[in-house]
This record gives sequence, structure tokens and C-alpha cells, in this order.
Amino acid sequence: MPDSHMGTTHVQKLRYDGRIGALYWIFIKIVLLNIVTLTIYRFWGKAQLRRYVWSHMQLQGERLEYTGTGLELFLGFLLVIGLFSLFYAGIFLGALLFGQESALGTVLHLILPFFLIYLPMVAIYAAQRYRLTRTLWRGIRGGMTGSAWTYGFRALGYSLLVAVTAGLATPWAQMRLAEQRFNNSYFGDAKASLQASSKPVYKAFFLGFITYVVLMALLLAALYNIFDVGTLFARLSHPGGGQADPEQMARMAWLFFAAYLCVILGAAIIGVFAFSWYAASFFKAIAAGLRFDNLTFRSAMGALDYFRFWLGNILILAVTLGIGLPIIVHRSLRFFADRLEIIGEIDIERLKQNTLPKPRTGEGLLETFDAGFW
Amino acid sequence: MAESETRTSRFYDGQTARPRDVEIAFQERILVLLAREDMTPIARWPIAEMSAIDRNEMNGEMTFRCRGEPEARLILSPSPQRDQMLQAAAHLKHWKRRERTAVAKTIGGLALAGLAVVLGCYFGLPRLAIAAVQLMPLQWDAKLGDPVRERIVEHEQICANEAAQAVLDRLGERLMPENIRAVPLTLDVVETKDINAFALPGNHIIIYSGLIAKADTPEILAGVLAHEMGHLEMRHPTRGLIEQLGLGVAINLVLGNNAFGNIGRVMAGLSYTRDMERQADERAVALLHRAHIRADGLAAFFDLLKKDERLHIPVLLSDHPGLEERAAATKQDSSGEPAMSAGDWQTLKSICRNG
Repeated sequence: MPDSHMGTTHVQKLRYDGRIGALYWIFIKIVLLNIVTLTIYRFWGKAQLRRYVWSHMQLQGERLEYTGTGLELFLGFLLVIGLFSLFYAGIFLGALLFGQESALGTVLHLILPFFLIYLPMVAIYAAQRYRLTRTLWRGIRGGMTGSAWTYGFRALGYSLLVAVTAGLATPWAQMRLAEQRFNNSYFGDAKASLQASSKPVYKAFFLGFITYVVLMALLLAALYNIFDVGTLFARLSHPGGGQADPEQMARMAWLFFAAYLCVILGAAIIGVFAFSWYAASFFKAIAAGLRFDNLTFRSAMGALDYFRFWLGNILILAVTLGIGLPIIVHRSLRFFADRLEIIGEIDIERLKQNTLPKPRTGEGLLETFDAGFW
Repeated sequence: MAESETRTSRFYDGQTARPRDVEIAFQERILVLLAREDMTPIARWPIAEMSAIDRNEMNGEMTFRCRGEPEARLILSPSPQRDQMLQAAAHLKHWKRRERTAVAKTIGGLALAGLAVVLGCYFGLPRLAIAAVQLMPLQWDAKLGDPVRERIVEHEQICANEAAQAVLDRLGERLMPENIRAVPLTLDVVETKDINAFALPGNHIIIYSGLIAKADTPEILAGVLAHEMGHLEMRHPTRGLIEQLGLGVAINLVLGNNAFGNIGRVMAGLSYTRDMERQADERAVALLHRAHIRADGLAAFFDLLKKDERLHIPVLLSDHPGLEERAAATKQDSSGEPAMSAGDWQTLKSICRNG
């Protein structure tokens, strides 16, 4: 072992060898079965998709495996939704009994929005723990320590900080949260550790921030003129003495819709353009500061690189009206796997199973507050 | 090493990451795993407790697990011994099909259960809401509706001619249902060209002055008032709230927070309110009869609305039943007393002057 890699450090990457065709087949199945089962199938669909993706990822010559099931996701969801309904009903009754104006009523009214901001953050941490414990490699599974509830509070605090600093604390906050998540992550008995400063990415962030604000202002001004929004608004709030022509109303509604679409698409492209450098730098900074077992990481991801990738995704989505989703999943997996260099090899002679708790159900919170398609 | 090259069968024990090269042997219903280097047995897996997880399309390797050691993995490359084992173990040979059948059964069962829940809720929810409202004292309704009425009275232009208000209040008193008299009735007229009226929990009725202005006869006003009182008598506003909440929870449970669910919730919600509108129409006619007032005003009101109707909303998307249907259901003859004297009607018509 001492001189087996003398002079040469082995560089490897995660290898993804899935096929777009297979992904499409899974997606079509998911859509059809969702319709037939009133979308109850979505939990099993997610498990299917993850099983495919995991099993087509290789590291050091052996494939990953996803051991989660649709049932676990479904039960997790039921649990959370059940608790949440009881809670919500309790709040409603309480507000009814004690009146809206009383102190208790006000508190109860504030609890709901608090939860709506707090719980999604808890969900992210809990979901990561669930997915780590459901990832198997060479018979060894992942795990995570730490409390999702504490993480949620930290994330909430950072969000307030970001709001108070008008967004300028974002890189720092994102880095701290990433550290929280990585430093509690395990694979087998090997712990990951992330130590990264947000200073090197601040230049990219500032530039991106200013670029975004300027470009968005220009976009909104241009749209305002093109669609003559001022007149639109005036006509809608005073529809000529109560006798508005329904055809005219319909046309104005379409114009509004078109303007809205332009804003959405424009904001997406501008956002990606402005923050590509920041996103790439952030990814690079995390890779540079991450350690796991014998491994260190490196990434050569560039701003232009990242921008082209995301621009491609947006265009594919727009042109295919969403049907191109599997293509985007495929592209993303190839893109990120390709741009993460893993330096060194995991010492498989030494790596042992961990005894961290394995949650029995998963992602109930995530499904309730931030459900995605995978 | 190329992917398609055959690698040796290997075993991961789920305790360390080190693979052991293995050969397999049969012993009745037990699969014995032997270490390649010295043929010593390292594991015994009862075939009945094994399941196949995956098959690598490129090199034919199959991955197996055993119930007793959930994280141990056996990866077998194609071999005569493996074929032998698969022949003897149908559940391993046809693993993909079995997996699909099991999932299909679960999902089928759940879909049926989900459908049952949704249908049960859709039909059971109104009954539940009605029962719940019976249990809730009238004062609770007031807690919900009083602040809303206060806000309206503060922010809208209220027509407050005293003599006219007195005429209105007298009409209200004649029509007021018995069972809700515990909480006093308030009738407020908001100045606007619109023709409408609505009820708030706590026995508040808001009337738009456009209705008074455009109505030819006081019986039309009486019909609308009776309709709103029907809503209050049956505690519809509160019942509606409970139904909407219940719908939200039930549909969220089954369909999750997505577009299908929301559309379904809105459609169901609309059908609930349409039901309540029909019931209020029925009660209105009954209340008018009880007060001995001519009951043909409500149908006349729907004719008035039909004249004014500009945008035709399909019934399924509307929170009210179609106007023709409502006019037909409330058709009454003109027997009965007038709602008020001609003089009172003139006084009422001027409610928004010197307000």
C-alpha cells in the first residue's frame, strides 16, 4: 500500500452510462400510470427513476444501487400530510374559538406562514439523509448525522440575514448551509468534510447580482413599452363604466399572459446568464474544499460551460414544451459527473458499514412542501 | 477493464467494502458461497429468502440479495451454475415480472382506495359539514363574519338614508327565519351599479344598491333577501368554509399538491356551492310563503339577471346553477301580499340619496 501509487495520483470520475431511450420509457410509464392512479403512482415512479439513475452510475469500477422503495415515500407523505391536516384543523378551530383579533389568534395566524417557510428547509436535510441511507455501494450504505429541525432553524436564520442584506449575504449563507449538510454526511464509516470560504466566489456573485438587476430592469422596461402595460392596467381597472366588451377583455387577458410568459422566460435566461460564473465558482469552491475518505475533489467547470449547459436546458424545455424533460435529466447527469474530478481512490480494504439510524420512511416533508419529479 | 468482459462472481458482505471472489454451489434449497481462493464457505443463503435486484445488460451480471442480510450483495456473472440455480428458483428467474406484478397490485389497490377516499369525501363531506355546523353555536359564526362586515362598512360607500333603512329592516324582520333569531340581523346597502347581494356569517346581509335601483318591484328585492336568509338559516357560509377546507385536505392527501389536485378541488368546491344555491332558492320560496308575501319575485330577479348577462359562463365552472334552471325551479304565481306599500318602495328606492 505505501508505494502503490507513488508519483501518480489516480484521477477518476463518476461514470454515468444511462440511455435517453430508457429514461423516456420510464417517463412515459410514469405519466400514463399517474393518470390511471390519480397520481398515486408518483412515489413509485420516483423510486423507479432513481433506481435507474443510481444503477447507471459507476465509481471505482462498481455501480451504485438505490435501495429505497415507492412505499417508503408514500408512507412518509401520508404521515406528514396526516399530521399537518390535524395541525391545520387545530389552528382553524383555535382561530374560530378565540377570534381573529385575540393574542392567541394572532399567534396561530403567524404559525402557518412560519411553517411554510421553515418546513421546506427541514425537508431538504431530511431528504438528503433518506437518500444517503438508500444509496448502496459495494454493500456499504450512506448515512447522515445531525438534526433536520436544527438545520431548518439555521436555514431560516440565514434567510433572514439574506433578506436584511438585500441578498448580499447569499454566498456566505449558501456556503455555511452546504458545510452543514456535507459535514454530517457519511458513507460507511467514512465522514465527508467540507471547509470552504465564500470569499473567492464573492467577486462572481457581485458581478452576477449587478448584471441581473440591470438586465431585468431593461427587460421589464422593454416589455412595458412593447405591451403598453400602462394602458392595459388603466383599461382593466375602469372598464368603461361597467359595460366592458368581453372580447376586448379576452384579448387583454391574452396580452397579459403573453407578457407574463416573456417575463418568465426572460428572467430565466437572464438569471442563468448573470449567475453562471457564480454557480460555476461555487461548484468549484465546494469541490476544492471537500474531502472524503482518501479522496479530494477538483472541478474545471467554467462560467461559459455552465451557461451553455443551462441555456440548452431552457431552450429544450421551451421548444419541446416540457416533453424534453428526460433529455434534460440525461444531460444534467452527464454534465455534472463529467465535471467532478475525484482524486484518489476510496480505500475499500478499510471502509466499513456504518451504524447510523436508517429512517423507515422518507421525504414526507419534501413531497408536501417542495415536491419535484425526482 | 472493459465493461463487457466477464468479471468473476463476487460477494460484498455488507460489513466492509472489500469484495470476495466466489464460486457458488447448491445444497438442496441453500446457495453456498465459497471463497475462490480456498473454497471455504463464507455464506449460506436460503434460496427462498433471496431476491434478484438487477441485471447488467452489457455483461449479463445479476445482483442478488438475501432477506437476512439486507445490505450484502452477490454479483454473479453468467455461468452454468447460475443457470442451474435460476432453473431451480422461479422467483429469481422471473424476477422482473414478479416485481412488476407486486408493484401493480400495490398501486391498483391504492388507486382504488384513493378513489374510494375521494368519492367518500365528496359525498360525505357535505353531511359532515352539516353535522358540524349544528354543533357550532351561532355566536361562532358571528366571530367569523363580524370582522368582515366591519371592514366592508368601513371601506365601502354605505347608503344610510334612515327612513329607507327602516323600510328595509321591516322587510327583513318579516322574512327572518325563527331558528337564527338569537343573533340580530343587519342589512347594509353598498352603493354600486352591480346587481347583487350576499350573506356573511353572523346574520349579516350586504345588498348592492344596483339591485334596488334596477328592480321593478319590491317583490324582487324580497325574493333576493329571502334567498340570502335561506343561506343564513342553513348556516351555509360556515358550512361552505368547512367543506372547502375538507376538500383541500382530502384532495391533497390523495393527489398531492399538483395541478390535477387543484383543478379537482376547485370543480368539487364549485359543485358544493351550486348545491347550496339551489337549497337557498328553495328556502327562499318557503320563507316568502311563510311571510305571506308574493313569491314570484325571485324568478323575476333571475329574468332581470338574464337581461344583464354579458359573459356566459358554463354551469360546471360557475358557482351558481344556470339562470334558466333557477327561474324554472322558483316559478310561483302572484298570490300573496305585496312585499311593501308603493310609498315604502319609493322611500326605499331613494336609500342612496342624502346618505
